[in-house]
Amino acid sequence: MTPGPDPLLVVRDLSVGYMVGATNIAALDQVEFDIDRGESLGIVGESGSGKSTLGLTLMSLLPRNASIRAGAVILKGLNLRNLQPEDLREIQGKEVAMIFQDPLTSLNPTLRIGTQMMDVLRAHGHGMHQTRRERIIRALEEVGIPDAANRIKRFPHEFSGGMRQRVMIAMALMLEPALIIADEPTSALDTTLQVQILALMKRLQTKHGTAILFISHDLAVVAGVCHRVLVMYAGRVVEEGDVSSVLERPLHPYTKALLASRPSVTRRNERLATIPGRVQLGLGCAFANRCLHAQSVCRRQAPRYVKVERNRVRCHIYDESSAYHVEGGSPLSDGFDV
Amino acid sequence: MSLRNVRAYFWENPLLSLGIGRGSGTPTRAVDGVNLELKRGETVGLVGESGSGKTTLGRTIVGLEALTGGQILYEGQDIANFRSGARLRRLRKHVQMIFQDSQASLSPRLRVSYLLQEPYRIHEVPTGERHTVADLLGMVDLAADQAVKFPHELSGGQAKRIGIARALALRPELVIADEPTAGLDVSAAASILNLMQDLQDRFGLTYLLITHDLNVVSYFADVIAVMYLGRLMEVGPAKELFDAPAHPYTRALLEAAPDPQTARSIRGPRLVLSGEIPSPRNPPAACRFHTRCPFVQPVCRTRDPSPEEVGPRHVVMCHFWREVLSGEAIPSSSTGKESTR
Repeated sequence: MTPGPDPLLVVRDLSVGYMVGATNIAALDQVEFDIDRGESLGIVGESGSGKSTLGLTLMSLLPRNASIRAGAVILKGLNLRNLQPEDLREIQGKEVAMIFQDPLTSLNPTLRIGTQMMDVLRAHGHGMHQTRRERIIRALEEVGIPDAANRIKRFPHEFSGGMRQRVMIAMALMLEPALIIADEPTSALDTTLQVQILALMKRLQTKHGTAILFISHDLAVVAGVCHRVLVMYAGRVVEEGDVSSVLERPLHPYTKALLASRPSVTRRNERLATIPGRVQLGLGCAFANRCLHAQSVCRRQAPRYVKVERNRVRCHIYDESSAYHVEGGSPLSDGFDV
Repeated sequence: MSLRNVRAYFWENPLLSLGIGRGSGTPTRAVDGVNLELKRGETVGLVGESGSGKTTLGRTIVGLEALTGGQILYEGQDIANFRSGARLRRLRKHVQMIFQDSQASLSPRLRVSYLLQEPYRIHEVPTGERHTVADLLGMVDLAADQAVKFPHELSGGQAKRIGIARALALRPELVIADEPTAGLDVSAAASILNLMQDLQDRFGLTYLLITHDLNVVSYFADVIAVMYLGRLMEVGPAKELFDAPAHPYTRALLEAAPDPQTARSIRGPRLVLSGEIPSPRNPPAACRFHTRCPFVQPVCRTRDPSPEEVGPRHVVMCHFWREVLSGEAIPSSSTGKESTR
């Protein structure tokens, strides 16, 4: 795998479930990955894939009816599952910070921006009032908010959408965390603002050496910001690799279908591929009921997570030890297409 | 349909918006002089950022906002000042809207079956001339058992389909679709776009497709109209605009549309617009785009460009469109930025 010998974050065998009544609903199933310091990793999936749950788990923000059922989340050598709530709260915001999708709902509408940012610094015990104020103004200037000294007196609704998102980024960066989790940070913005925010995030990442976990439903957006990407489906990671190889040679049938269903200016006249059916969990592969290449082994047995060149994929097609029968040629040859 | 110098202004005093009384105070010029032709059977993509006025234009066409000035000609007749209930209601049989927030546009206390029959009740359509609920659901690829559900029991994609089915119930000729794929997953969005195209082929619909994402209109728009702060910056055949945009704003929108292929080869667009769209209460003087234009020159700040013809049915409002088209125009460093790779 690409990450180095001393990764910042190590996630192994992570399973998270929500209790609804007496039933446990699995949101994450055996999720595994590493993030290096300063690296950006993209998590791509549609609604229900578990990508947001993953972000919340890493931030220790799971709701009360959710819990980590199994696995380990190790940040800078510390297993977050073994920590006491006070210690977790120390880490939250300081080592790991989060940027949410809709800044209007994640910023307190009744408090001035300056006050909210001050709260963050106070909660982590930083310095005296004057140094905090300077720190806040510097953070806002760094994300491109003009006239920061006056803007801190304003309320969230007085900012435009793009500006509010910049405020969220400033708040996340203020404590200089080692990892920032961005959950759909640009989905609520127009494409022209999205481009600005992504460029800003890349610039800040280079400057501060922060690792970024970028969660999105859009593979193209992730492609512009991240080095590597994980594709999630129904709570499982189905493919992992560096961005260019996943985009140019997607391995998993779901990844291929996802790429083929995006309308694109450069592929204007092609009919969009759609993925028939809905997510249906069963004994075998979660994607089996919607996969064009499914065979009986796919429905009976969950596929293993195997290495294919420099990537990894959870699919029987690429597992030489599985009962899957590949006709004519290797699954990696060009003739094999969705 | 022909839009001639259409204007929709909003004043803080709502009476002024209705044309009652005279007042001082600056109106918000949401739509400020739009000229556009919609030909039968065509899809016109109306693109621009939030705040450009495109949703207001759509709402003005269906009569949800009052027109401040100009003409809207539908099959030769000026519908702009249809104030009376009867005339407006008759128009609604021909011009319908699919709303951006599908869930919000469906009354939460009514079941799908009632929602789909509501248009017939309002327009007093005799039972023999109505589509059945099952028919309407079938048109949008939904099973008949969806009829008993309440809106909150529908997924985003399903709610969108119900919105489409309801818009089609009266067999309109023109459908205005406001951000049809907003809030949908990639695969759900693909289904909706395919569905819209199939319905167009089947019923001969004319679409005005409103969106900020050029990838969405690239799918089946015949004509693209680019809107900024209440005015159209460029209008032309889709193929021409995608291959050779003449207006800097069109170019910026194209480069901002996320695309796995361009992300791969370019790793970020070459043209990043700085800042955000100014408020329509206070649009910049002369060329409205001059505050964000990467190619701005002194004349742009003093003289408003007039529409110029680039080709048949292709019009642009820019002093330097020839240079933008040929690629000779070079971004100046003060407003536009070249991104670093």
